[in-house]
Amino acid sequence: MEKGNLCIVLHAHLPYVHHPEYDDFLEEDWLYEAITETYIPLIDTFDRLIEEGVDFRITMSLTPPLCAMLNSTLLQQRYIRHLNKLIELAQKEVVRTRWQQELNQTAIMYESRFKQARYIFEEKYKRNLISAFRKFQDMGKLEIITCCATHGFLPLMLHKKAVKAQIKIATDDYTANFGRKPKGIWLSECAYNPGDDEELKKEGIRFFFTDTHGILYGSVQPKYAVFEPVYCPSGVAAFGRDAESSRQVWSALEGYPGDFRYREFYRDAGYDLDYEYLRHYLHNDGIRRNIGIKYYKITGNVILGHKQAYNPKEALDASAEHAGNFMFNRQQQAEHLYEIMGHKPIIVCPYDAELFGHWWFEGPDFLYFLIKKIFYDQDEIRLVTPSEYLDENPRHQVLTPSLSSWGDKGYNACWLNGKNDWIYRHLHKASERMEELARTYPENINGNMRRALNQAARELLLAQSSDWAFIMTTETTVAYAHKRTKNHLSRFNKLYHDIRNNCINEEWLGEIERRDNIFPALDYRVYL
Amino acid sequence: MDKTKGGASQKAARITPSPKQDYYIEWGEPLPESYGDTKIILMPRDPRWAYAYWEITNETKENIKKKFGNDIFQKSRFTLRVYDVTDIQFDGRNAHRHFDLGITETADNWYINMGVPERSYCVDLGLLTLSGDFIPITRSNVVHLPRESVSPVTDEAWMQIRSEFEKMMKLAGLDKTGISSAEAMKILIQRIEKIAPISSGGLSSTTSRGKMKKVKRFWLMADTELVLYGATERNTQLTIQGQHVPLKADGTFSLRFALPDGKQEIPIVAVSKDKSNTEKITIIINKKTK
Repeated sequence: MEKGNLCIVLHAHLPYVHHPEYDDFLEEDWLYEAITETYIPLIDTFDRLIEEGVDFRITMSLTPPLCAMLNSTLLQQRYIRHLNKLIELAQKEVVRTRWQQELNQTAIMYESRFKQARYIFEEKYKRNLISAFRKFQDMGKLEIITCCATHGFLPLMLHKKAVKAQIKIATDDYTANFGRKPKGIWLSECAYNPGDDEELKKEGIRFFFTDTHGILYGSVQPKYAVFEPVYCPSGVAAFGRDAESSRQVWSALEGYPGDFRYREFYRDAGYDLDYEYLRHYLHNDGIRRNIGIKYYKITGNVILGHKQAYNPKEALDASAEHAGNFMFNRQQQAEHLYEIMGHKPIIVCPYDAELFGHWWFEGPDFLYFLIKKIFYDQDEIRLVTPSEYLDENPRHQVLTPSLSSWGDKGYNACWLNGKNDWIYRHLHKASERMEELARTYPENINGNMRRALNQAARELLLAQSSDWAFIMTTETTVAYAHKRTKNHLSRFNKLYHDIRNNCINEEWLGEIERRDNIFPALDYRVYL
Repeated sequence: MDKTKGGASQKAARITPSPKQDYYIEWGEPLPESYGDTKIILMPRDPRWAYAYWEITNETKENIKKKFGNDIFQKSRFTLRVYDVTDIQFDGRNAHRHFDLGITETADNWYINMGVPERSYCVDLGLLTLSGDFIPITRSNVVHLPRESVSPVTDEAWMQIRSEFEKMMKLAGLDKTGISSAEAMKILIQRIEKIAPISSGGLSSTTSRGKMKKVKRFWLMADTELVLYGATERNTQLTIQGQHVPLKADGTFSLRFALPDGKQEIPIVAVSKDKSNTEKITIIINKKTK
């Protein structure tokens, strides 16, 4: 008997990285790696399930910057170039490892996976991965939701208009990509600021998500904790994250991805192979980096040099085992909650999509087995999408969730600390100036002035990406995060100055339009 | 996506010329140090802390000097006066409470421990004179800090939202909870609190899953590969260890093998296009690591 609903949410996002001014650009690899390791495997998983007649429901946010990159002809071409090199290397690796049986099977696996990726990307979906996701949505299997326009962190935005622009531009962008308006949104970093739901409502958005404590620490005690959504006073629903299921997947210690049989992320052939042999497959700067061919398993708590060979079959078994365990735990959880609540709970499990495949190599297999087991092996839990659930369950408690995020410590500190706080005086000033520009030119104008005004809005939006502040905090690619923040803000400041003084440099404007070409249909009057 | 260097073998990268750090970076115009506004902005960080940044223009400073004397900045201290303005229209005098924080003159931002969550705060940036007078310079926006615990409020309000095509949705069963809401709430919260709060720790696509274990021990690694190369007539069928090997356009071939310990017999067989000629070379290698 059905005891509960399970809502799996995959948040797919990458910051907008697009550098036509370079032939080869390091950070564009983020996209290529995610396509090969996460987006294509997910698409392949969904296609397989559909072919096998397995019904399922998954919710995915595809952020506007990610959609823009997937739609970019330039990045599509570069992805193919990247993938072809990877296939070439994988083929050489199959030969090279011929006398090392235990590595050879993995080399063969990479060759076939990369070729399959090329088939799916080039032939099956004609380089248009958005169309694949859209297809799954149109079939009713996938609910695609949007996200803030450039993944801006709303609780630290001072100006309501800046929040409105992040939501409105995202909604328009979604509509252009998916042929209908979004019903839900993933607020960047799962960060909710009381009152932002009013902006969601204006765009017709019905629901968003918060972290567990966003609901638990709401203005009123939530009667059913996070196991039922609540309505904000605006009538927009908030779904809270289930902590238990998160832990099973996220936790570095007890989480599934840490199983010794799974692939070790950090031991990459990019650091192991002979330099001369590898050189052709590295970036122009010739520095060794991860290349995405990894031959070892986590093995245990041993140094990288002592890792044992990866065994694809053994890892596949592990993912099936973990899928069974995850399902069993959700069944138990649903049954328990059903007893307490007297009706069916909804268990909401949001994850970064890139966890599946990129970090946790076997993650897409886990999803495949989980969905299949839920379909065939039991009748206690049912996969649902949030809008389907709300249609069936329209009555819920009203409260205002607490300010919260899913970042470290649960609030804003991850995006506001000694490493990144300097950005906000510039971001806030730029927002203020953008509103001022919109007020100064409220009528539709033409020519360079209009282009400059629209570009100013793009520069502001790109500077607002929460990714830059986050990278500064985690100290991963700090120089790049600084560059991006400074580039966009200084471009904004120059545009502001040039518009104010009516001295737009058309050639320069054309160049930054080419580089920062997100949201071609944007209208700066969204800041009115 | 990942920028974490991989373990021991990364050292091998040092043999290559290391290009300048900023290979992919061009910085553009520097950002302005100030924008010519006298203002202070307050931002929420977490239930107890807020962050303030500010700017005071020279013009403002001159005006203060004109009004309070040229030595006013020597005779006073820059101070943040923090007001609790929860649920009131603040007029400068009606705060629930306030406290002062002395700050250094050169500072232009400060993290403030507000102490009490779920209250609204605003801050005056000003000068505190030796005689204890406060000269306000500029006032911040109001910020409301979030809760850090479950609300004591149990009044429930319920709302029903029906999408247009779902107007006939049956609601039977939704209110039959069996136990009181307070009881249910307690059980659910206990269940959640048993599970230590877990956040993704910002496991976002652009960061690394965990910290690399630093290997500090002295270390050495060495391995061997075999490059097998040769040439034959174009259009020849070539097999190495029984596996077909495509020739380059000029009839040459080059293969690379990782060479493990043990004996390898490598028969290389060339068969001419019309199959009339066959040549065979066998290479035998013994590798031993001590």
